[in-house]
Amino acid sequence: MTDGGRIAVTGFGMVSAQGWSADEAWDGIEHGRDGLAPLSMFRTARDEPVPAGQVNGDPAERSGLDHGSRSDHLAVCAARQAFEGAGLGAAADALPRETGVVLGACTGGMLDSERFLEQALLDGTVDMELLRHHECASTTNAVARALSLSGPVNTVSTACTSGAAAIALACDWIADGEADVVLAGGVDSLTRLTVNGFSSLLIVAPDGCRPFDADRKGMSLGEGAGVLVLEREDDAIRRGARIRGYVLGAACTCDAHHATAPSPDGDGIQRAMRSAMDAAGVTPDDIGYINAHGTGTPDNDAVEGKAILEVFAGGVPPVSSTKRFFGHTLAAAGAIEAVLSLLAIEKQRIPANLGCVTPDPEIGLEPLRETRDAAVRYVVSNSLGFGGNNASLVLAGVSAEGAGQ
Amino acid sequence: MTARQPQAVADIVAMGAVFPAPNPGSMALPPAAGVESHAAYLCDEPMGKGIVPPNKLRRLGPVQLLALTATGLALRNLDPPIEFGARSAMMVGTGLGELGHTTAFLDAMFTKSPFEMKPTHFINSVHNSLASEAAIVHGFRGENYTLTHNAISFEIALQEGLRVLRAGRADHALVCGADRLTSFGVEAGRRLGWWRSPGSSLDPMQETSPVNGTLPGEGAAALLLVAPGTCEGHARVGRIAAVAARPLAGQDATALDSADETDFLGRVLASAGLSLGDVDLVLYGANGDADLDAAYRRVDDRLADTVPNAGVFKHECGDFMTASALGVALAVDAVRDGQVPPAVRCIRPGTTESLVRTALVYSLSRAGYHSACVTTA
Repeated sequence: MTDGGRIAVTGFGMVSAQGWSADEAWDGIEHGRDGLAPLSMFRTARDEPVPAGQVNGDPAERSGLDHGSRSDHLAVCAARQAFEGAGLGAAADALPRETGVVLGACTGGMLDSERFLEQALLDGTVDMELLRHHECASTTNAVARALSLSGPVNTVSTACTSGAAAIALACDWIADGEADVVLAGGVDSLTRLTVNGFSSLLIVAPDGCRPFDADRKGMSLGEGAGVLVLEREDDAIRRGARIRGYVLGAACTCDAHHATAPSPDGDGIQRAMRSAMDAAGVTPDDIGYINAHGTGTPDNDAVEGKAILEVFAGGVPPVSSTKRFFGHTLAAAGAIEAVLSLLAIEKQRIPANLGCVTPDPEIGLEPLRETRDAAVRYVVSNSLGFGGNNASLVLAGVSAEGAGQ
Repeated sequence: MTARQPQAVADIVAMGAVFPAPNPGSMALPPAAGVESHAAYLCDEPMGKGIVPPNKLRRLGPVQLLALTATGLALRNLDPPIEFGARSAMMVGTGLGELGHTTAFLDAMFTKSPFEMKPTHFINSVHNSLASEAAIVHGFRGENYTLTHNAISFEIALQEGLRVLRAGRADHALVCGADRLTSFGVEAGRRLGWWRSPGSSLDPMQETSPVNGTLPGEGAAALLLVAPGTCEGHARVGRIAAVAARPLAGQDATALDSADETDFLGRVLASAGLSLGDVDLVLYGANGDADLDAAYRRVDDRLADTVPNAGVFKHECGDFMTASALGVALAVDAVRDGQVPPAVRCIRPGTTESLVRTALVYSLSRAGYHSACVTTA
C-alpha cells in the first residue's frame, strides 16, 4: 500500500514454452497442453534429450533488438507486451519520468558465454563478442534501452525466487517514491550450465516433472520471461490505464539452513506466506487459490506442502503447481506465475496441477487435477530457491478490489 | 534522481573489509591467452582462516570465502553479541558472483566426462551462493537479496538494506559487496582492452605518464546497519546518510559534463539535508584510466574550493565491479576516526588538518554508471 493507493498492475507480458504471450500461455493451460518436449537447443551430457520447456521459435526475430543474448531477447519481448498493455508504448514522451526496471535473472547471457568457453577450450577460437551480454544486468539494461526508460535499474539474482523478489522490490520502490512506474519480472534462458548442473544433482525427472505426485522424480527445466508494469493505483486511474490487478502483499525470507535444500520444517516459506498476507491485509480464509512453487522434487514439494498445511490449517484452498505447463523457468518462474495468478482471478478459473496422477499421501495435499471455474479473489503465489531463499506474493484482481475504491 | 527520494539513513555498528595485498601480484592466465600472467591486485591466501568455519574452507568457492571473511570480520567483535534471526536481512552486491566455479563446471563439461562435473561447482555458481552461505553461517533468516548490476552492485545492495530498515521489516541489515578475480575474467578484460600494460601499479588522478586502462583487483567490505538510534549498546561506527546509483543513459563516462555531475552530487547530499559545503572528504573511484581520471579531475576542479580533502583508493585494490564497497569502508574509517585514513592517497597538494565528519564516495564507470554514497560521523 502506498499513499497513492494500492500497487496496481497495469500491464503484463510473457514468453514461455506455451507461446509468445500470456494469452497463449493461458490457452495452453485450458487445453492441458504439456509444455515439455525433448530439448533441441543443444546437446547435453545425457545420452537422450531431457524434457524441457523450450521456447519455440527464435526470440531474436521478435524482440526488435539488433543484438543481445537469448535472455535479452526473451525479456524485451515480454517487456514490450507489458509496456504496450499498460498503454505506455504509444506515448513515450508522456512516460512518467521515473520509470524503472528491476528484473530477476540467474543465467544472463550464459548461453553465449558457454559457446565462448567451448570454442576457447576445444579449438582455441576466441570470439569476444560472445561475452558482450554475459552479465545478468545486460538483460535489465536491454529492456531499459529498448523502452527508453531512464529511471532506476536493478537486477536481482536469488535463484528461483528472483522473479518474485524483483516484483517485491518494485513494490518497495513505488511505496518509497523511488520510481513512479516499474517494469518488474524475471527471465532465464535454457543453458547447458543449468541443464547439466541440475542433472548432476540428480534432481531432474527423466519423464518430466510431476509436482506433488507420489512418484515424482524431480524437476524439469524451462525458459521464458514474465514482466509486469506496476504503479500506484491513483496514478494509473489518473492516466486512464486499465488496471489488471494488484500486488497486495509481498514477502521474502531466508531459511539459512542449507545451500540447496529447504529447511525441513518449512519455516522460511511459512513466514513468507504469513508476512505477505499480513502486508496484504488478508487472512488465509480469504485466499481462493495457491499457485505453488511445486517443482516436482521430493524435497521442495514435501516442504512446501507441509508449510501450506501449517499456514492454512483452517482450510486449504485449491492448490496447483503450473510447472508442467512451462518447465521450471528459474528466475522467470515467480513473474510468470504472478501473471498466471492475475489471469486466474480475471477469468475466475484456476489452473490444474498438470503431471500429478496420484497425490503424495505423505504430503497430504490434494492438488487440483483439472482447470476449473472458481470464485477467486486473492491468490498466494510461492517461490522457493537455492540458498534457502523464499518469496510469496499476494495478488488480487479488480473484480475483488474494485479499481479506485 | 528526483528530489523526493527519501532520506537513506542508517547507523553502522560494525564493519569488515578485505583489501588485496599491498602491491599488485601476478594472475596466471589460461593457456589460450598466449601470455603467462597479468598484474592484478590479489587478496592474500589462504582466505578466511580463523574466521570462516573450517568445514566450509574446502567446499566453498573463492568469492564465497571472501564474502564470509568480510562479514565475519564485521560481526566477530560485536560486544554485546547479537543473536540474528528472522528480522536480520542480508543484502549482497556482486558483479560476477562465483565465476570461478562456474567456469570450472563448464570446463569439466566440455573437456572431461559428465561424471567430472562437480555438483558443488554448480551449486556455488548461482550468484546468491554468497548471501546464502553468509546467512547460514551468521543465522540471518530475514530478507535476503543478491543484487548484481555491474559497477553499481554494491550501491543498490546498500539502497535495499537501507530500505528494509526504513520499512521496519528488519532490525539489522548486513550489506556486503564482493568480487574476486578469475584467470578467465582477467584474460577477457585483457582482450577487451580494459587493462594497462603488465607490471604497472595504479596512481589514480596523479599518473605521471597517463595511459588508458586500469588494473584488475578484488576485495570485499561488509557493513552491519541498523535504523538510526537503535544501536542497543553498540558504538556507532558511522552513518550512511545517502546513496544513489544510476546508469548514465548512454552517455560516455569519460565525457560527462562536470557541472551535471556536481549537480548530481548536490542532489544526493540534499536528500540527506546536506550540501557540498558540509563534505570534508571526497573519495573518487578513479582507477588510473587516463580518460576516466580526467573526468574525475574536472569534477574535482569544481569541488576543490568547497571540499577541503580529496583522495583516491583504487591504488590499494585495483578496479572491480564492487570496488566502491572498499571506498565506502575507507569513508567510514574517515568519519569514525575524524581524519583521512592512511590508505587514502590525497590528490591535492597538502592535506588539510580539518576534522572529517562527512565523507562522500563518488564513482564513475566506463560501463556507464555513476554513484555516490555519503557517510557521516
